[in-house]
Amino acid sequence: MEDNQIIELYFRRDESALTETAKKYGTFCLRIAMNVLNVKEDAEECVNDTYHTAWNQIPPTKPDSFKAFLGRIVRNFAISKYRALHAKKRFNGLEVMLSELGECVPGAESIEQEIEAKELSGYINTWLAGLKQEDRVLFVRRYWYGEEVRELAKKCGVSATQMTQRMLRLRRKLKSFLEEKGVVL
Amino acid sequence: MKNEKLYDAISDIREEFIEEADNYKFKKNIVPRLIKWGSMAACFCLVVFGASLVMSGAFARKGAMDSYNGMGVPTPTPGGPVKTVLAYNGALFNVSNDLTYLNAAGIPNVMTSEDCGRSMGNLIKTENGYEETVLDTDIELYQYAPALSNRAVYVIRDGEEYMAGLYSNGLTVGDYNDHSPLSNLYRVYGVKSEEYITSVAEVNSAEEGTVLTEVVNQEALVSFYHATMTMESPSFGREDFKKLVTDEMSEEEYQAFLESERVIGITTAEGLKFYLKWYPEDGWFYAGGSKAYYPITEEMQTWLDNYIP
Repeated sequence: MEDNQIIELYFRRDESALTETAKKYGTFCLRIAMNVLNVKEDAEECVNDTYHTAWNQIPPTKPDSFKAFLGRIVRNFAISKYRALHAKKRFNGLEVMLSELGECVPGAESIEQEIEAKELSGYINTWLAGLKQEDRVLFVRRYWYGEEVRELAKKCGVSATQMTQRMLRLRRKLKSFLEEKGVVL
Repeated sequence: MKNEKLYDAISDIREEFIEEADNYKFKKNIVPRLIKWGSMAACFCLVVFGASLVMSGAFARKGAMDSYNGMGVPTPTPGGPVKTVLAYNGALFNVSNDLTYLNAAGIPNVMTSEDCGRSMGNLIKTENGYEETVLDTDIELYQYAPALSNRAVYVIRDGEEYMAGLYSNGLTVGDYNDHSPLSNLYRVYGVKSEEYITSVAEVNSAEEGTVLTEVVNQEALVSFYHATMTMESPSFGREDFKKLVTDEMSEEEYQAFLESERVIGITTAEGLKFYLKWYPEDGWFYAGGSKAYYPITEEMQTWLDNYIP
């Protein structure tokens, strides 16, 4: 079923919207949640919460990209769940990503003011838009979808070490871009 | 934490970037892979040759037993549910998108792009079936995303068409007698311990796996798992089994042996199913997925007596 037909079901308050969403995007959502949580049961819970949130938000929201809309919700649920459980357990997926992103945080000396998350997103969007397509895709796959470096290496047909180096260069680029903009976190 | 703030900000990147990343098809760096794969080419030819021998039935003597694979249905026949095979990672997989066939293996739906997990590389199609290639083809192999911890199922995208590759047997090289222990089958289906079996049932093989008796009691499943562990050794390849058992039978005895066949279906925690053929009169299990015969041990027999009438 096409996305606009599924969204139409939400607008009609037809509960088959949820079934169609699960059929088309269940695996997609589960993959994103699993990349963060690494625990199937927790990931499935996030996916179910995602369907309920979609039900509550549509209408009035009418997403331009239904896939990205769901992906964003499930990712946020997965991150919240990770944070809630983090004190008790260790989940490698997000921890590794977070430690990598620490390298993008600009040094304090370059900063004029602390920035809001929304403004920061704007800068990241600008930076992403200026990248070569494959670099942008790699960054988004790694830090939005949470795919592992070795998976990305396999897809590109390079070694994991080469991919690690490429990601490092991208993070450094982001860091200098943010520093140039005077961003402080 | 600052890096978490950055991570949160990344959550709100433009939707077009999110879509683009998911839809992007990477151009592989072919040269290093050619070097790497070149050395494996001869091995792979051998794999395919071995596979074609096994599939052609060239070794078959009494074909009824040999036409079955791990899922309990025949290997490729024209018009049948299995279109062709995939030779991958030293194993054969039956390629199908027949819903009845997939259901029998515990897969609820025909394959779509949503079932695709991580990409495992490109394939080419030959007369022997699908094979790995370093070329940038429009045929791609993916892990099966809904079942995350096993290698029993893959997804093959051939152009716009998505198909399942279901584990057929553990062996693509070697002779008719090759076989592997039951633990190999467990490994492929993601059965890491007794907790990973959720049902053991006798099924009617003639009726697409209709359940006759099902055991779901946790204690019984744990004892089933441990009973199968007692059958780890010895195991017999088909050639050895013929010499040891069926060659000694008269034609009538052999027919009776075949007719005594019952089928035990095992469902895993991820919902996948595989089958053991059970020859109760003579006390054997046969697993198509490992191409091995296992003599039923006393512990296994006790379990069967208790739970499968």
